[in-house]
Amino acid sequence: MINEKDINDFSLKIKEIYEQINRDVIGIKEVIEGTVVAMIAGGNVLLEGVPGVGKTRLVRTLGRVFGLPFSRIQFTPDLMPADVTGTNMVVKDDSGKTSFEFQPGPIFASIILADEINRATPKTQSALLEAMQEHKVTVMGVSRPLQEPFFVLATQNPIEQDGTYPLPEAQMDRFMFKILVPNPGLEDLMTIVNLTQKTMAEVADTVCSGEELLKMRETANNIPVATDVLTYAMILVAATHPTGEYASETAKKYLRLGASPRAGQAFISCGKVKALIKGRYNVAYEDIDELATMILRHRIKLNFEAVADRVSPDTIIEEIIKEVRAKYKIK
Amino acid sequence: MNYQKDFKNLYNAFLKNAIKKSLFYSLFISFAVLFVISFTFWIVDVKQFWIAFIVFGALEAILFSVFFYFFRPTDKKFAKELDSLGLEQRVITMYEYQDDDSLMAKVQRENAIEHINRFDSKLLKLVIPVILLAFMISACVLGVSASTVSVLSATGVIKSGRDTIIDIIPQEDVYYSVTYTAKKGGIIEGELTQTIKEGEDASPVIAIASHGYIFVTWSDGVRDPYRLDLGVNKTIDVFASFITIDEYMELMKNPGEPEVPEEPAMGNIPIPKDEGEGDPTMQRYDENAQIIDGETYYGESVFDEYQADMIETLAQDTEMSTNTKKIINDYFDTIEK
Repeated sequence: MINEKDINDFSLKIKEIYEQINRDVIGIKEVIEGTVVAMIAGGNVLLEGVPGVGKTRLVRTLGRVFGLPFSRIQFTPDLMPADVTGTNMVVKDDSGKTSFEFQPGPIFASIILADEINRATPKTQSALLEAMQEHKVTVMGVSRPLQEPFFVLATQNPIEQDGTYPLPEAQMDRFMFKILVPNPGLEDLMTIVNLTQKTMAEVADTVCSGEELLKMRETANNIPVATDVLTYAMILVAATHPTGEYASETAKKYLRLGASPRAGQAFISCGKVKALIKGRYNVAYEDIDELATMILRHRIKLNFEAVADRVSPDTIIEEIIKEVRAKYKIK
Repeated sequence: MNYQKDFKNLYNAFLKNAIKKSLFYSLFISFAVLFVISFTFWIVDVKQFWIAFIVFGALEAILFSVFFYFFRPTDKKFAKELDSLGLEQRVITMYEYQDDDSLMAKVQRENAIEHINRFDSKLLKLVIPVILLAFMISACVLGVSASTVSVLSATGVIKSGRDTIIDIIPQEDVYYSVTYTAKKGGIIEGELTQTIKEGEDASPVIAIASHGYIFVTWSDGVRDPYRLDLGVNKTIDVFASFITIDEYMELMKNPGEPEVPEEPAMGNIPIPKDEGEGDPTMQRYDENAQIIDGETYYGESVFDEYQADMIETLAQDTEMSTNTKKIINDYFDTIEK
């Protein structure tokens, strides 16, 4: 149960969180906001950007700000699943008796930075599946729950494709958001350079504990959603299915596969968080629209025509939003 | 929550807008219908112009009610409309969760009410697109104009639409065929087949009985053997009927049996004057119905009288063309006395 204090604390906490993150990470406000929203809503985030734009620094800062156990896994082609999940080791006790003892892998933390996730083999990538969705790990037939809250913040480089293994749809779908990390603007670039001339140290303080984060999630979950808004979000998801009843013309033209029901769940849970961050106690259409590209861009599969026409997923999503709004007369 | 009471000013603004919108759309359609009816009445020259006004009034009342039913501000519509003006689904959420007692729902309601109270009701000003306004003005002008024209036409001040169109549009010439044929016992002198422009006169013809026959009638009842069809306005196809002298004499003996053994209907047979005998309703003898065929002997005095009458008649007749008079004169010249 939440009380009035929880509601008031939410806005105070969120303000503090942003303040602290902004001490270490310059610019990329939308990326920060998206990541924080996903963390409060309990989702995993895939950050895509060229090297050096601050992906890893952002994730590290988040670990510091939330005061949560943080692990970094550098994904490489020779990384094995056991390197991620942990494995049973043979150990001797004081009496010399040998037994198997589970040695937890780096996944047993609250914030996992899966750096360059697409460099690992599909076998290793799939080791994350259970952890990301069910927040538990099964090794040698024994399931072990992960510490709550639990997030996977993965990064990937969109340019260097040699020796990479693109994430399969099942894995992609488990990321609540795919956030594109842009290059900083000129002003941000100057600030970054000036700041790092003085010190490279990360200075963000912990302002939110794991328990407080879970409380924030619970508070956001109580936000009411009007039927019209819920319907709009679900139609948006359905409109991405090229052969479905609600298929938009853009989807019919450019898409091979639409978003899964997880997208619908993400719209609502993240919409609630976004509304509360804005100081509103209900989800609005604009919350759904703002989330649409982050939620849908990695869940839709483009067809040959889209590739040939060089149409990006973001453009397709924007067109679908326009179509749905016009069709259902949403002002 | 009672929106009508809690947000009286806003609700009244919505109500006014609904009335204005209903009035606008209903008048638009009613004027369009008024135009169509009045224009039709004017064109087909219907004098009951008041029907158009009754239809206009009744339609306006019905349409206004229907539109108002759709535009009237129900609580849900009120909520949605307000949200669309920048309240970010606060009001519709409040409407849907009005019975929810959870803390968050209460906070949401407070937040929504706070925003509604801050809302400027001037933003609710009804905006009608220019194109729609143009259509409305056009329908209004056309409706009023057409009904005025209809009234003026019905009261005889101006011509009806049909007459006006006839005046304006040049009419295509219409021609009719005029055919004269003779049954057994005679011939037709003159142009037997003619094509005559509507309203003009056909050329004259004369039915001439052969030896031993006598002219009876034209098939359309005309008993004068001389025939001049004036102002032709339909197709004429007639034939001249003749009977033998014997049959004629037989008929003279039995004036009560006027039927002529010639087909088809030939009109009444001329009966000589015979006062006190025969059917009094029978047509009197008409000597003009006789034909002097040039072979039958009538006696000099009869012919002379006949010719004298003819010459006098022709001299007095100013309407008959010279050509026709010449034909008749020529005809008499051919008769053997």
